[in-house]
Amino acid sequence: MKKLFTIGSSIVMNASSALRITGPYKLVTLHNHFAVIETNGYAIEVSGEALIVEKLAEELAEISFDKIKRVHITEVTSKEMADGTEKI
Amino acid sequence: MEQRKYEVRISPSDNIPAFFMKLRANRVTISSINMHDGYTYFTTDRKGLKQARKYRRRYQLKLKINPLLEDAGFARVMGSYRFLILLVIPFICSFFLWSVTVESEMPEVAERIEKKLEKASILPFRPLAKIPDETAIRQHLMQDEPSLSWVYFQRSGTTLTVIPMLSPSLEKKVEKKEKPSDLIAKTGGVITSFALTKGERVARLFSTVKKGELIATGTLEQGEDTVVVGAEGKVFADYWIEYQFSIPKEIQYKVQGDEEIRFLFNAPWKGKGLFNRENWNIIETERVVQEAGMTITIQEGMEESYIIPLLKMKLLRQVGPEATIKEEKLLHVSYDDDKVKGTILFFMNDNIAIKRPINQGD
Repeated sequence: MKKLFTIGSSIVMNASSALRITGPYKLVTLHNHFAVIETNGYAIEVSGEALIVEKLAEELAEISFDKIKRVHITEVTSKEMADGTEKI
Repeated sequence: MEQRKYEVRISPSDNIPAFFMKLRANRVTISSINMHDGYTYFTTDRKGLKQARKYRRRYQLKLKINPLLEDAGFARVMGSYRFLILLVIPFICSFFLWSVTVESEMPEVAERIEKKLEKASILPFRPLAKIPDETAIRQHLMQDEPSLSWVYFQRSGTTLTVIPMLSPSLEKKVEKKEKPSDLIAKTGGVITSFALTKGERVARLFSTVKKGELIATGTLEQGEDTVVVGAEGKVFADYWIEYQFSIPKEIQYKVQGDEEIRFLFNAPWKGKGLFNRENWNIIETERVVQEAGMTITIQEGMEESYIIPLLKMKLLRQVGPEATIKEEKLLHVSYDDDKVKGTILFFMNDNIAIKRPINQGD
């Protein structure tokens, strides 16, 4: 059933104030003004004012801000994803 | 069903993201995560709350839980169990027959049909699925009922109305093949009016006829042709009749007394009240008129007040509805120990025509 409804991964930014991540993800860091989420081999760092995580479901995360200031996406190796620390 | 929501406050800790991931792995829906004054707040349901309590020790978190007061709005009402039951009950009730009525002008026909319906188990509170087809019910009702020409059914929701249609009554006048007759007078008198349906008058209006005299003929002559049709109808005349009477001295009669009104409690679910809605009155009124028995002894001097009216009534009952008494004369009256005897003359107006067959010379 899960395979039937698999929609794949996506990162969507709505109106410069909300970020929606669909697909498998991992919440790495959560602070008042920024959050780091890893998904599909990438780490997404998003920062802004008044962060609210609207939803954290199995394969859906919605983060909204009053205003997004910075979105930074970096590729992450598999080892980094496992423990969340950066390794050279 | 809408579940109750809770707001959970987590004290500052670095393990919060991992805690959320653990909850997510257990398919807990987390919403509205925000941070104020170092605390992290989130909203979840009862299941989420249970999981949060389960894993807080592992992640060394301090939780504070507040139930969220929900707005008892329309959405909540619509989503509640009570509303669902409210919808389900009438839905289930719609599968049963709630009312069966028989509409007929003739109460005896209605009663017979009701009994037949009862025998066929077409009663209120029966499942609609068990009610037989219209055709089958109609066949059953019209069986052994020659007075019915058709039966209509009106089914409106859970109400069944049965409307029987009676066959039109055929007014067949069984015409006896009688011999054509003339009309003669059964008694002498003065003719006051003719009401002939067939035949021709012989006597004239206001003429005096004797007993046995021809008053209407059934033989009609037209030029040289003669047609025998027979006379029929009535001929009214005034005549005197002598009436000898003998009545008991003591007469017993009943007099209307007080009217008693009784109020009765009538449980509509008992007895035969199910079919007829008129019987569903909880309080029924019964009016009973008391009758008192009286006795009167006829004595001299009571002729005008008792004897004559009594005799008039007796005579009218014997002669029929068309007769009228115009005058009376009491000839003589005698009083015995237990009877009152006498003779009275009545001046009456009645139909005096009787038939006499025409001799056609066969």
